[in-house]
Amino acid sequence: MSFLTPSRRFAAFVAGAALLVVVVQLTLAGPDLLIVDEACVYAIAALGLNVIFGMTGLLSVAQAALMGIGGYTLTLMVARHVGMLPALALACVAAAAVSALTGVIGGRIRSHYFILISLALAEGIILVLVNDMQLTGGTNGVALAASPTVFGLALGTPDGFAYVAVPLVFAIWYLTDCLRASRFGIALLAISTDEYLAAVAGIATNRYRVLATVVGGAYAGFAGGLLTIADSYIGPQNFGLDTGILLLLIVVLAGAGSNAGTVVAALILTYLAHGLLTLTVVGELIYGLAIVILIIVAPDGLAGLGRLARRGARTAWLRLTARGQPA
Amino acid sequence: MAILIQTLISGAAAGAVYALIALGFTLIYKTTRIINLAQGDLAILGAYISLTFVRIGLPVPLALLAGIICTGIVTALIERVALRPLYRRPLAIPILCTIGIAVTLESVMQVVWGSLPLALPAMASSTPWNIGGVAITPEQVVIFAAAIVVAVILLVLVDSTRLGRAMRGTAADAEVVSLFGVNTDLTYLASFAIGGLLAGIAGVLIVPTIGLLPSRGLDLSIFGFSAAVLGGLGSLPGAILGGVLIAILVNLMQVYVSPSYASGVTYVLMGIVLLIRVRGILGDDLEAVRQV
Repeated sequence: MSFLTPSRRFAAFVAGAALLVVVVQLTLAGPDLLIVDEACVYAIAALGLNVIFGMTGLLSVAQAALMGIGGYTLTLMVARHVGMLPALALACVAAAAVSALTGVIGGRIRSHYFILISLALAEGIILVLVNDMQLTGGTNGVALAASPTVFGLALGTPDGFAYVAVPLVFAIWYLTDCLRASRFGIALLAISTDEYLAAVAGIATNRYRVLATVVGGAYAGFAGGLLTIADSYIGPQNFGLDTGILLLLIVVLAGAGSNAGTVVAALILTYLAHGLLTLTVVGELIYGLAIVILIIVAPDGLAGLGRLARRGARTAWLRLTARGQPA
Repeated sequence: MAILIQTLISGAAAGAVYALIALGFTLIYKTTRIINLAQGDLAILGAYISLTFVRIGLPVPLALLAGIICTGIVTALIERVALRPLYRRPLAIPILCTIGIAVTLESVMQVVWGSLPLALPAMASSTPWNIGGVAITPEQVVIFAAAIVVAVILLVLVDSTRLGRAMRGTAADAEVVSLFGVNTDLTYLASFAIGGLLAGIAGVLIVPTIGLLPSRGLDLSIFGFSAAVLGGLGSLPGAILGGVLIAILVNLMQVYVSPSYASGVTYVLMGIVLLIRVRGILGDDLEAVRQV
């Protein structure tokens, strides 16, 4: 990665975000735009799951339920006349707190078996969301009391939301890349590779595990809040195990804890999920089979493909500029 | 008082079935360290296959038996095709694959049998006997007895037979046990096949009570996992104990506290067990516990 110095990398992210905003606004409209909006939300949540699973190795299906916590917190706060940004912050905090709970409870259990406690959390949250009529409106959901505008853009509409969501995805992607390169990220990598050696090297494994769940949960809360803003409504249907498995699949498709792969995989899978859903039952079957086949056949996912492509490109570049030739 | 005894009795019958799910799940976990998230769906699949056999015209007991055997075969096939290529990869990957299998199974059941609830004939009648003010149905007795018999057979199998010893050995150290002439691939296959049989038996027993729907698989799975965690991951007697306890607790919660939140007991209980005593009640297996 010697071509992309840190400052060039930052510039690339900003340029990419600007470019994509323009492209999206010019080329897409209507239902396609809705899919892109949803893909942005899922990309943010999947980046959080990437921190939990891709970087730390904690298998979790609860990310969607945590999105629900964020969304409902936002709705409840806005209904009590809290401003939109503070409400969004509170949504992050609430989801992070609940996620930390799983981190603490799962602290004694090995990473792959973390799925049991995440399953319990996900189902428990859905149980409360569906049954509690006073607070959450049960299966009917709750409408958002106020629809926010940013610089005159109505965030409740698809294109207004896209103006904000796409740059947000890039910003959070950049943030997660910085996170991975930071001390925190390296500690997580060490923990997921070999916990004993990480502990021997002086890394506070328990603390970092819980911190990873906190960070991932905050992402989920943010994504849930954004989804509520986009729809101006929240209901428990979006936050069940199906979405949780979809998010997990996005991270698996991305491969090897890659952030770029996560964003791309989120776009691909959201689009596919919408396409498959129109085929109803047979679509579900294909979806399930696709998960199994994907896991068996593509171990490194998109990141592996990306690596192959980069290697091919570099070889071609070297050949072209005759640098690889012996004297 | 009568209500309490009634709750305990119906809890015991359901608990016997949850115990069977937990047993299959724990057996697979014990031998291969894989969490089989499709266990409940396999149980419901067994019930659906039995229903098809009944519709063809087989007498009910034979149809149920055929369904159970088919479930075992299907599970063995799944292990062979989908899970065997994944044993060399990190443990999260096979577990993810079982998630995919669970999704696939549920949608297969929806495609083949539809999503409307169907009815599987029970093995015994559900008209209750009245003993001292408490109603017990013959069906509940049959469920409880069948589950106990199956559980005992399984415990004897794991304890005394060559296959059982091979399974315990593979759980401890798969590489070393192959030096003793144990075919680890075959042992894994056997553990999945037996797990599938157990799931089929559980499904066939419980479905007349809870109804036959593709979505029931997940509910059963979660009860099974909670039971296994409560009893102690990796402990077969623990799975039985956990199953009965969970069912009784859920029933008590349903009757005395709140019907809609009753299943939440399983989630809270799993959290409490993992927080306070990771080994559960009877578990001595340290595989799942972080030793750091």
